[in-house]
Amino acid sequence: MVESIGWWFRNKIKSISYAFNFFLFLLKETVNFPWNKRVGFKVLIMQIYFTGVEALSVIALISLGIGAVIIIQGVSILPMFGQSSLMYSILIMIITRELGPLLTAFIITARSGSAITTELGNMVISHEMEAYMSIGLHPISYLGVPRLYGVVLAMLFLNIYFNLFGLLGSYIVASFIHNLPFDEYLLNLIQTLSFEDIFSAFLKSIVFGVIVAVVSIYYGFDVNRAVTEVPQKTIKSIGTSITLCILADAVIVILTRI
Amino acid sequence: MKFGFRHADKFVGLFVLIAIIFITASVVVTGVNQRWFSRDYEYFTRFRTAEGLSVGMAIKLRGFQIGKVERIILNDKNQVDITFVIYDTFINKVVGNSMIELASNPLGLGGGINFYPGKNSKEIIPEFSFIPSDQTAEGKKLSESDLLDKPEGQDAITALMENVDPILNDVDSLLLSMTALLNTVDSALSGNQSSPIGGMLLNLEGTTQKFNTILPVIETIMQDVNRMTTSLSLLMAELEDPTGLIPKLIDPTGSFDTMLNDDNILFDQILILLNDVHANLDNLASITGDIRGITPELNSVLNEATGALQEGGKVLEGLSNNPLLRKGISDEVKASYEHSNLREEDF
Repeated sequence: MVESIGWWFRNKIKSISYAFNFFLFLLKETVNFPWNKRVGFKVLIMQIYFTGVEALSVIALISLGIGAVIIIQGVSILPMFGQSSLMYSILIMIITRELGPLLTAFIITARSGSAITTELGNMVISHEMEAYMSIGLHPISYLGVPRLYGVVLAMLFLNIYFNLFGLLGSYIVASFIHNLPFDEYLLNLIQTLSFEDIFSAFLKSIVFGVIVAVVSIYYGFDVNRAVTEVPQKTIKSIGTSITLCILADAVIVILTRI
Repeated sequence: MKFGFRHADKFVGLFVLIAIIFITASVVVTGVNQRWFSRDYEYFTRFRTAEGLSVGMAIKLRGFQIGKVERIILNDKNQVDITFVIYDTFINKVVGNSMIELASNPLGLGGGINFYPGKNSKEIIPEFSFIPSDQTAEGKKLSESDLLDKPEGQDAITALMENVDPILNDVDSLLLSMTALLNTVDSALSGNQSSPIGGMLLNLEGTTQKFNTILPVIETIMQDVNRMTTSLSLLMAELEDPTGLIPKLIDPTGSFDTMLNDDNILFDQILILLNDVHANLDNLASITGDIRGITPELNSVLNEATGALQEGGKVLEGLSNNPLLRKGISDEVKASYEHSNLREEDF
């Protein structure tokens, strides 16, 4: 039993060390990306297209719904307590600071993170990595880095769209139910929105984007031989991404509120 | 090739462009709101104590915020130096003979710093200059002179009253609400309203009228019953003494003899008595029928009384949970009475 615990512990340390080194190498290649002539910018554009543009409809729908619900509930309940102005703070707090980045990260994890792990895993199985290496291209530089950039940028832009639809688009939905003057709504929203809110949302988007991309790429390259490993790694990739995003969210909230 | 793939570059370009425009607009608007692009002019003043002062405290001129406190420090002479800024839009108000006044109040209702511009001067005080406060000798001199543009009554008490004023307004609106409520109750009590209380009173009036018609009948019945009770008590008194009763009954000149030879007088009396009893029972049946007839109305009256009490409870709860003090009237799920309408009741 002691032997098995030792074996398990050694393996854990080994895998954590491998993951950390992989992360450092990916970061180094990411920094070098703009000056690296041999990597494909087309891969980056296509990654932004798959991750950002194609996920826009889902993001728009979710943010419209959440924003409209907050406005309707706020307009109905808060005046009873004489706190109508709190609606804008709640709207900014939920849409911009909290749910926006987190929901966007979840959607990208489910849509693109899983796709990246599956794609890279299948490429490993079909020995495409060896083919890249044989012509002098490092698979992490050529396949991993553009995906990392693509996911981070798409996360950032999707978060902006989440705010756009959640704060302004939802007003249109809510205006069918409650008569709320647009100029009054916009003015209050602008007065409530602070630079700290925008900065917090940006920081979260970048951190979540890095987490989702690195975890997905890592598990994609972690596939060894069998096709059956691909779905297993994909599931692990999604679970790890979501867990790490929630932990990172908690840390960022604590840091920005201290 | 799929349309999206062929034009992926254009889609991504548009996607990025709109996002950048939106975020740039948001940052610019936020910057304008937080006065990133505006110039603030710095001045300093002096107070005896920092009591009631805080960094970020608004500096107001006739209710308009024209600046804010930046720094508060204790100098070598144990005086409090205040560095404050005046917004560029109000810099033309900072003219010679201006003065700063701390308007704090002992009730803890907040406070502020009031700025009073000089009266006869058009010259703007240069940045980083000293502007006297009302706690300095220069400030007191200015305050007593006619050089200060200070509205009448604009002192600490006025500032306090400005804070009290919103509360009084709230109390006023509460009193208005209570007056309206009392008028409603008054109107309902006069029977001029279709509210639950009004309906209840109307029903109560009808029921009382019906009771008034029934009462004489009940009185007659009660007199008959009283007479019967007197007879019965006499009979019971006689029956209490069996030794005296038996001899009287079996005596040849006693009751049995009298009863058998009285030309049916006793039987006639019994017959009359039975007829009286029969009439009384008829009356009782009639009363029971009447009472059964008004039972649904009584139910309705009781139902409406319950509704009125619930409404009254909500009003009291509303008064005790007034938004000024607590959290308003809580939502309540109304339970409908089974027989809210007479027609719905199954007789």
